[in-house]
Amino acid sequence: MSKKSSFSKRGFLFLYVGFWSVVLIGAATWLTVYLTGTLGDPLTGKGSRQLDAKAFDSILALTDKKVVRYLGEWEFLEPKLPGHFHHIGRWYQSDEWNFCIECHGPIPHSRSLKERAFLNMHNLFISCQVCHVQESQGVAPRRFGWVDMTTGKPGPNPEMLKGVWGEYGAKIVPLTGPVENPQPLSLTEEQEFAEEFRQRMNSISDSQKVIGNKFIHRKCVEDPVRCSSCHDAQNPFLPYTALGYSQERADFLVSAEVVDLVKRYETFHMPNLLNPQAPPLELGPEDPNK
Amino acid sequence: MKHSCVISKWQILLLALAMVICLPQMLYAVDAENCLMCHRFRGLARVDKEGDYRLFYVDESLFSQGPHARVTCRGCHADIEKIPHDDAQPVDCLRSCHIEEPTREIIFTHAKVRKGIEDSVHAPKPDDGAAVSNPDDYPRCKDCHDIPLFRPVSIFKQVRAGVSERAINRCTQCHSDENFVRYFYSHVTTRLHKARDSREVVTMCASCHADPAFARRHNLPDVVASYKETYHGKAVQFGSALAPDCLDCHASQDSVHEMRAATDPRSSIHPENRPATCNAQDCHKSASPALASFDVHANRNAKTHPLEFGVGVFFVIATLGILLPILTLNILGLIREIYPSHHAEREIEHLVKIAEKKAAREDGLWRFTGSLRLQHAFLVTVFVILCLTGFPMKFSDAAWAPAIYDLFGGIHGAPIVHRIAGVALMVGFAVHIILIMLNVRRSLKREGKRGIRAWIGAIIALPMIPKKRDLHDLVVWTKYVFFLSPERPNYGHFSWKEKLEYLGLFWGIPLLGVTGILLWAESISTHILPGWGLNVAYLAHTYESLLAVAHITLVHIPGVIGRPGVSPLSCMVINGKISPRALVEEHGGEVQTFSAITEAKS
Repeated sequence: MSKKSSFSKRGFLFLYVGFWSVVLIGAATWLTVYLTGTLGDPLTGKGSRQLDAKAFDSILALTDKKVVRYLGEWEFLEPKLPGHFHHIGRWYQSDEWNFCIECHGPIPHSRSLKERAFLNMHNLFISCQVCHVQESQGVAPRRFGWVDMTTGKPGPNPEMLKGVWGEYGAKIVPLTGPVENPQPLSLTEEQEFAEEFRQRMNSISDSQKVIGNKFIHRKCVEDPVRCSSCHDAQNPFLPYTALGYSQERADFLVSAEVVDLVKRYETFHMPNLLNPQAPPLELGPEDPNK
Repeated sequence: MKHSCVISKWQILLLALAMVICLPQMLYAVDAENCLMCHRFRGLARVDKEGDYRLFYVDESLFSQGPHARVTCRGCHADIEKIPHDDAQPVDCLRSCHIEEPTREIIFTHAKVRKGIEDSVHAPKPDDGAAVSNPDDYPRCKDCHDIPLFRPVSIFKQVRAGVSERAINRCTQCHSDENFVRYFYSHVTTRLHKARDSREVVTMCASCHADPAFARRHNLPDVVASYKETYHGKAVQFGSALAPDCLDCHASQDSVHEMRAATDPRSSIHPENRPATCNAQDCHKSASPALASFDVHANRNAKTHPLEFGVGVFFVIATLGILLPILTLNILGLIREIYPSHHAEREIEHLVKIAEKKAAREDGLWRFTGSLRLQHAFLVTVFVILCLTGFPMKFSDAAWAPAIYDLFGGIHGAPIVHRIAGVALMVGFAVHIILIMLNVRRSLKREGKRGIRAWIGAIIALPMIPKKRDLHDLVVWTKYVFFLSPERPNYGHFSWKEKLEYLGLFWGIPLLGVTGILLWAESISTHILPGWGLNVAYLAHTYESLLAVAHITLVHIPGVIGRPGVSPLSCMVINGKISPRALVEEHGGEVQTFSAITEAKS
């Protein structure tokens, strides 16, 4: 008993001494580094960035480089974009559900010089699948609803009048399945493949990458839905009022003002010019809710 | 019927007249060109071929809260003539925009800024007509400015900063358009103080001046780091609107656009103009012109600031030279606790029995008197307050600093608490010395001794003054912890460690006190010291405070209450008593002494 007690006492003492030794050695090391660091010019030893500083700042601005605006009675934190004059305020909610974002990012459109910013703007509230994915070969989706950007679950139409323009925490998606329990158009196989593909990206060959890339995009259409398909007074691709838009807003989206604007921008859309013979998309069955 | 028709015409006429008069005001914060139809969406963005992220979003609510709220989009983006539009050209900030300058009914323009900028350090023109090196480094409007926002102040009591509803209510009694009243009120009251918070100003200047590559290209020191280490910089970081930012010194008189190099005789920081800048009415009004030699951008570079470097090296060596050997001995001492020598163990057990007998006989072993415990408690309290109000200032960049500082009232309260605690420490220290002197006097009187020699002898004989034996004890202890000797020193009433700490107070408290007062009363200080004396005082204060805190936290606390058998708390400073084992382990010599006295008596 006495031996056991002596052993446990010694063990405790060992831990105790070990703890204090680590604390004191750590503190002494920090103190030495800190104090010696106070000598000399603070710039000495600071390397200059080798990367393209402007582009790098652009990337950082969207992630962690926030600045505080002190306005006396209130303060706010906003991303600082190099050379951006207007205030941004808060940043928009990222889409955690849509796996396309993981590779393409939230600003994916860049090909059509005239339309790209507008198309990216629509990314705020329309998922990629609406325009780029077909329900089946040659059949465009006709049923649409809203999916929560965090959970990926279908939800009711958002209250658009209360929120910020285009930011509802949800996005429009094509729906499939029974009418009473519709689900977002599923790309489960592609998503699972894409996740593994990303993980193994460094270990596969270039030709394997091409094949994998094709598989991930196998349900994507060559000629996506055009702006003029939605902004069409006669037969708009999206059922605005069914999606919760007010009649006034729905009318505006297909008004002459918007339609004319779209037409003028679409004139410059290169893919159309390069693929003039693309067959027109066949529409899927009518939305029973419409 | 006819009559009503006439009134109707008048009504139409009046309505038309009112519209003509009020139209510009009605357009306030109204997107006349409907640009926000697209630009109100945060996602309106693209990535350029060069990789630049271009955002075309305009936050409507923020845009309406600044002086540009009345400027239409085309007022700045004048090249846009049709919708849909092509890529907009960069905005010329100096163009005339479409709003009227209200005092003179002329079209408003920022063009006057051009002259100031062209004559400033930010747009140099080499005398010999040579090309400017690194022209892209010189700032354009957008490098320093983003769209301004109102920061209105309230001029009414009991109202926080911002738009005063009471003021607005009074204005709208006569002026009917509340939108215009709010705009006007915000615009004017924003101009009553700095247009931008000092923290934003420092961040703005730092975007270039803290960039190492930029500094190297232009052969500039890191002025931002050195500024942030001054009281000016730290106070600004804590949100003080009174502390000066870059613009307050570098453009103290003229427009901020007319900032000039320190070598330019017109510059507010030119050596000849510096006294006037520092001694300005709202700054160091009563300071001597000598204050101008205080270097706000002093770093510790051996070449450019040898004095500051020398002071820094002295304190770094002093701090590490004192702490590292003691810490090494303490850590080795802890390890030796696990593997004590049999000789030491036997001796300790023997002395513990003697001490236990004495404790039983005298109802405990007394170590500290009530007066000493009171002084210790006072010292602990004041020390903690000084740390809590001083270290957030020292490490003002740290995330924890504002939270602790706010406990003491932030930048407007904590420095006052710090100074009060500092004065209390000085007074307590003086009282301690007086009490010692009174004891010495009483002792000399009892012994019938007089004269300066007797005083010196009595002071040297005080138990806290190091003696030859302490050096011997140190050597024995060092050999013991290095496993070179089985013999453990038996310290007397005070060990060499305690004496070293005690003497440290006689160095640290006066040094911190004097330098603290010099920095506190900086204007008066400059009548007896040159400005650079404050640079030295600051360095001495900041380094010494770290030495003191490091010693207390790394040596005193682990050494006194962190020892095995004592941790987590020694009651000695509370009830004045020490346990027999602790007395033997730390002051075995004292036990040996009273054992010898007891034996001699018996």
